Amino acid sequence: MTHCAIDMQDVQYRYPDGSVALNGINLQVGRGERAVVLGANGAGKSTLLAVMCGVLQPSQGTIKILETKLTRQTTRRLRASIGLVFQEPDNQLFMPTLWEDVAFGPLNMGLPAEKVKSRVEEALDVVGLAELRDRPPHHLSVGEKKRAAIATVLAMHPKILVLDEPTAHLDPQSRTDLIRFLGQLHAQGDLTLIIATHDVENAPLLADRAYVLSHGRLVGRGTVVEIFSNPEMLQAAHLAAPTVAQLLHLVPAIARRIADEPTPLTLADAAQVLRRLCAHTEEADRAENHLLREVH
Amino acid sequence: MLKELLRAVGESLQIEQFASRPGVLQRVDPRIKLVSFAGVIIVAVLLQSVLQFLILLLLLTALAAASRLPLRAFFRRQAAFVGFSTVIVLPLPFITPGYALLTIPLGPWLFWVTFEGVYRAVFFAVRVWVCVAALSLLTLSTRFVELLHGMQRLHFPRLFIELTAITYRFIFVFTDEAYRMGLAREARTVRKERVVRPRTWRTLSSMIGTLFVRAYERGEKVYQAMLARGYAGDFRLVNRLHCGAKDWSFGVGLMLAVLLVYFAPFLAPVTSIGGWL
Repeated sequence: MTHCAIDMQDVQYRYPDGSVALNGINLQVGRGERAVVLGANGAGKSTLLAVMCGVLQPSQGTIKILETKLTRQTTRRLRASIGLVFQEPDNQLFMPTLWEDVAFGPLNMGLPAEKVKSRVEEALDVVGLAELRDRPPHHLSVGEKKRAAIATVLAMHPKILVLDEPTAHLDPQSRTDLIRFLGQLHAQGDLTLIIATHDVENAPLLADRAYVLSHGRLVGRGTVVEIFSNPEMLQAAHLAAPTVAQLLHLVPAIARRIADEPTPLTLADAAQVLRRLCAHTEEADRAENHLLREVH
Repeated sequence: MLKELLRAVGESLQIEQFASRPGVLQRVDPRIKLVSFAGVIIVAVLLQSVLQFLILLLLLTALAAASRLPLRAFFRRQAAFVGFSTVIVLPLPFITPGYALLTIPLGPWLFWVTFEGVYRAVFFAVRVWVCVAALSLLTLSTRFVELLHGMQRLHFPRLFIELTAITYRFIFVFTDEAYRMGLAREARTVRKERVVRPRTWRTLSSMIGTLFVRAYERGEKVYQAMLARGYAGDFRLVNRLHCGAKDWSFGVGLMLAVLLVYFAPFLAPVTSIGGWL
C-alpha cells in the first residue's frame, strides 16, 4: 500500500519476563483513515499501540510510520508525528498545571517559546479547556482529563492520532461529545486516527476500518461492517456486535428482510432500516387518520 | 488514617488558593523569593541567640500577615516539624556535659540536666522552627508552577526540578489511591479494628506494599507517556517570569533586615550561663 500512515510487518513483542504479548502482527493503516483495533481485555491492544508508537521496542519485525522505518535514530523525530493518548489520563498528565502539561510536548520538539504558547492555546481551545489552563490536573473531572490528554498530544500537531480506550469511564454525554469531537478533528484535516477499544457499541461511530486482536494476534480485519457481520470470529475474540445489530437480528421478521443488506451497526442506521420497514405501516396509519378525519 | 490523608490532601489544595491572594509576597518574583528565603535560612542556621530567633520569627509572621496568609494555617504547618525536632533533641539536656541545673536521682542512677544541654536543645528546636517558617512562607505564597519556573531560571539541576514537579503532581494521585484502598478495606472489615491486633498490621503492611507496586507501575506508564511526547532527558518550561525593581527591592530589603538581626550588637549571643546571669 502506498501512502501508509502505519505499516507493521510481522511484529512481535515480548514482555520483559519473556512471555509473548504480540505475535505476527501485520497491520497497515492508510493516511487519513480511521481504524479501530478491537480486542477483549488483555488481548494486547495497549501493547500494540505502544509498540506502534515506538514507546516499546518490538523483539522482531519492522514498523514504518509515514513510510519512515522506526529505528533508534528515527524514533525521536517520528514521535512528533504520531501522538499517543493513553487510556489512563492520570498517567499522561504529569505536570503541575494543565498549561504546562500541554506545553511539554511542543517544548520537547524544541519549538521557540512563542510558537509553544500559540500551540498550547490552540490545543486547549480545540478541546474546549481554555478556561482551565492554570488548573492542576487533579482538579479536573475524568472527562476533562481525557480531553486534556488529547490536547497534550494535539499541541504537537501529529499526523497520526492514536488513542487507547478513549470512551472508557465516560458518562453517556461526555462519550457522545468525545466521539463527535474526534469526528470533527478527523474531518478537518488529513489526520489518521487509530483507536483501540473494546467498546463495540461506539466502534462503528469511531472508525471505518477495524482490526480484531485476540491473544496477541490479529484474527480479523476489514471494514467495520464486515467485522461486525462475522459473529463467530467476534465470539472467538470475546467480542460481540453492537446491541442494535443483535437486536434487529433477534426479530426474525426484520432479520429476514435485511439479510442481504449490510448490518446496521449504529442507532441511526438501525432507525433508518426500521423506518423503511415501517413505512407501509405508517402509510396505512396516515390513510386511516385521513379517513377518520373525513368521517368527523 | 483515612481522615488524616484526606486532611493532608485538603490542606495542600488550599496552598494554591493562598498563593493567588493579593498580598505582598505573592507579588514578588519567585526567583527573588527563593534566593532571599535561602538567605533567611542560612542566617537562621548561623544565629547564636534566642532573642534573634524570636525577632526573625516575628519578622516572618509579619510577612505572612502582610501576604494575607491565614496565621493559623501558617503556624499549624510549623507545629508538626517543631514537634518532631523536639522529640529528636529530647535527650540532649541529659547527655550534654556542663553546668548542672537539676539533678534527678533515679534509683541507683543520677541524672543531670545541664544548662548547655538545655541550651543546645532549645536552639536546635528554634532553629528548625525558623527554617520551617521561612519555607512555609515561601510555599504558601507562591504557586507551585512559579516555584518550578523560579528554580529553572536559577539553574537548579534539571533532574531535581523534574522530580519535584512529578512528586507534587502524583502526591494527589497516590493519596487518592490510598484512600480508595482504605475504603475498600473498610468496606470488607466486619470486626471492630483494634490497633493491637496483628491482623490489622498485616493488612496495613500489605496495603503499603500494594501501593508501592502501583507507584512503580505508574512510574513506568508515566515515563512511557513522557517518551511518547518526545521527552529526551531534559525538562523544559516556557519562561514567563518578570523581575522588576519592586522584586529586587523586596529581596534586598529582606536581606538587610535579616543581616541587621544577625549583626545588631544589642542582640549579643548568650553562650554560657554567665551571659544570662
